[in-house]
Amino acid sequence: MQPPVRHSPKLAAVYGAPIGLLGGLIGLGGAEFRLPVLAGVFGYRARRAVALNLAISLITVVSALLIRAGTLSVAPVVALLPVVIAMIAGRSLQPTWARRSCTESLSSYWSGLFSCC
Amino acid sequence: LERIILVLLVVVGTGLIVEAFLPQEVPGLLPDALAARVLAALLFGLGIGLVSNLLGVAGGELIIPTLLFAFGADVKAAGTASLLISLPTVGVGVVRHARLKAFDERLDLTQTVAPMGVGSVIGAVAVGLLVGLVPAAALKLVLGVILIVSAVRIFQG
Repeated sequence: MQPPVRHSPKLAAVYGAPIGLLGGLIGLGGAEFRLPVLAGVFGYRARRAVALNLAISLITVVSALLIRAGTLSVAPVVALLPVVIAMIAGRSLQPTWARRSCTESLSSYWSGLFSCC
Repeated sequence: LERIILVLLVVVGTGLIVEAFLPQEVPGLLPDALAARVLAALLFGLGIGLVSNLLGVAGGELIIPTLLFAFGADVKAAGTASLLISLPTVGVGVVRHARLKAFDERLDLTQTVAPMGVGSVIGAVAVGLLVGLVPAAALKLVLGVILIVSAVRIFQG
């Protein structure tokens, strides 16, 4: 029997901050650091943990982008834009067989972090 | 195959740490020709998507070193570009999970997603304000360490 999900906004905020920090500092969404927390500390099951993780990643990525756009110079990023667009296109070309499905147990956190559902 | 990738991750992580201590920026491996860069970026995007799925890493820690070493980007621009590249993947994922009713539990949103999101925003903004002042070498060092740590964790998992 899976233990019940723990709802603790304070704890969630405390865990969120250092992971968000990575987004602002380096440019990482931090998903793989957050997933073990959601599953381990908060007791979410795999599918739900992955989904919530994505939602928080989205918040982190958007806020990190906005703040970086304000504090860093934009010119070197603009120079990279063709590369950025091509990489997005490359990622979207992913064949369907490569998309993993979620294991309910989350025995390995590491599979299908983004694509499983 | 996973082992090969893990070795690659450790090598790239070590490379980042080494580069952090080099006095100069290392130029990119790829020529400046736009067509070559776009084609390479397509292939890298495809490859990184596959590898990050296989390993279950988010992709950012692969995208940033690729931009650094292959495309000669500086580490701060690479971080921002990596966030841009991640945005569609994450956005599509959220929409897909929303369609599957993954967010139909209100408490999950109010008790977990919202506060963790607020924490993330605070973390991102606090450091985002400082990132212009932080030396690039320090960022490479941190990223290199993160890469190696995640490689080791995957290897154990």
